Amino acid sequence: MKPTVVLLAAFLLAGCGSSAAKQAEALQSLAAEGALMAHDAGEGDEWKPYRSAHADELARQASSLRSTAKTVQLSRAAGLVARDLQRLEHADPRQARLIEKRLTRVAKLLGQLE
Amino acid sequence: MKAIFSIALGILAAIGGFVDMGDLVFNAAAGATFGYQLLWVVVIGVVGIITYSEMCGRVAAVSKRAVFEAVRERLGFRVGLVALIAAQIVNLMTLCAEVGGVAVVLHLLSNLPYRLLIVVGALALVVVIWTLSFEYLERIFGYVGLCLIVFAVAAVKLNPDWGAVGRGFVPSANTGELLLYAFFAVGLLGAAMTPYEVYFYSSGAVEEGWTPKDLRTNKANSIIGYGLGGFLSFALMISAGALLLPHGISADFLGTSALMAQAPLGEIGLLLALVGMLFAIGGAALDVAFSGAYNLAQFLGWEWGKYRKPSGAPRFTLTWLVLFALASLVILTGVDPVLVTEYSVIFSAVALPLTYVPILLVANDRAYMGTHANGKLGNAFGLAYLVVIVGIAVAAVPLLILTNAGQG
Repeated sequence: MKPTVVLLAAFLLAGCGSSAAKQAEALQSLAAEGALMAHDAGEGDEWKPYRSAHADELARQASSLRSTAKTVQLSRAAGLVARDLQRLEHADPRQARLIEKRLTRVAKLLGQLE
Repeated sequence: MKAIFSIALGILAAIGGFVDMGDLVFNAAAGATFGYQLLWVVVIGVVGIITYSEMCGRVAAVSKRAVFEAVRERLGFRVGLVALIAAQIVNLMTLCAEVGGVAVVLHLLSNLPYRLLIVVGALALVVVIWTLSFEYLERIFGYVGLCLIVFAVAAVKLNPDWGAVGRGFVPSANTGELLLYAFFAVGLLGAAMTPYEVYFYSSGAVEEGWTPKDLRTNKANSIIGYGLGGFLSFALMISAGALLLPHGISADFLGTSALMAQAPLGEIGLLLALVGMLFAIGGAALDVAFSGAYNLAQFLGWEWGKYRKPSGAPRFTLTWLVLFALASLVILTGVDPVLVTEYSVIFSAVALPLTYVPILLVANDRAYMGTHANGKLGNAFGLAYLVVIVGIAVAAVPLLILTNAGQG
């Protein structure tokens, strides 16, 4: 996963315009929020209906960003974030911790682009 | 003892009425975008709503007339009609936001289908309003809405930079995004001074049969009640500034506000936040629907009041039922309640002068108010706020367009 993310960041750095930067910012927000939720899910300290409902809302937003993305790289990143958020809906604590790590990494990389 | 109890009821009603969708959305979004820099705007908004709610409560206690009766009587049919149309448009937009907000919170609590919950939530509100007395409605929505205090605990637990929080109470614009900063300032003021709050407050005072003997209760209700509402707004903005801003999270969803309680306090924090939000937004929906019915009934001279049986004020009852039905239909089309909230708050900012100018005029009229007309201090505050209100009314729509509704 790590090389994919690094490669992705390189593509993003090369391709981002101002509107793409805004989309990257929105995607970073979704990834960071997903990571926070995944952290709580990893610790088992959460209300499951909330996790499912809110993760689904974030995932739909990421999917929508994917379809309107200004660059192919951004679209790919949005796809990864959407998939992880969908997985988070029903993840067990171990899976949730893995999702947290991935989403944190993506959020950090996207944050560096702003 | 009775006086203390009546103040407590007012405080609870004010908390439920003050912290609604607009406050939840704008305070969290402002904190997530600018940290603590806009805390001073909340102070201005709270002092403004205290100033004018005290005024309209006083008018109601002395003259036995609520805002729209006074508007029609003192300003005439034409000016009154313009104020009525503006108020009803903003009320309907606000009610759409609140009905949508109730459904979103129910969805977050249950993960049941959102559209089903729009219908269930609206029907539940109608049944509760129909069956319970005004007193019990105030108590239930107010008491349970107090669960929102969890955000104050969350704010402390998130360990914010208290020095920065303190500096947030001093006006400054330490940002390169001045237009966005101004948009949030206007939104926070619009949310704090939403017109339905004073319509509901003054009509409630008439419903409760206030007299000049209740003027101290009125003052205490407005100062302590809205003061506590402001305290919750601070808590929301500080929580967002401490949690969301460092992570680069924008507060575009109601669920994000709930996360501000879950992250530091776990499941119990989340549940308290969601239940508090449900009852605060539900209470606001009740206030707004009643405000719409109060305004129309008072303007047209119909029988009105929740203390009457539905058959005793049929057109009043029909009006709030129709408003609930319209709001539910609009939200069922799929429009985003958070987006509706942003637009309703900005348009309520535009309509503010039409609400507050008549209150100031009537509260100043010695022929009407006798010895209870505004004093020098009341007028100074009233006029100062009039300048602020006109300023934000003029700036609201241009800022909405220039900032792409706060999206930058």
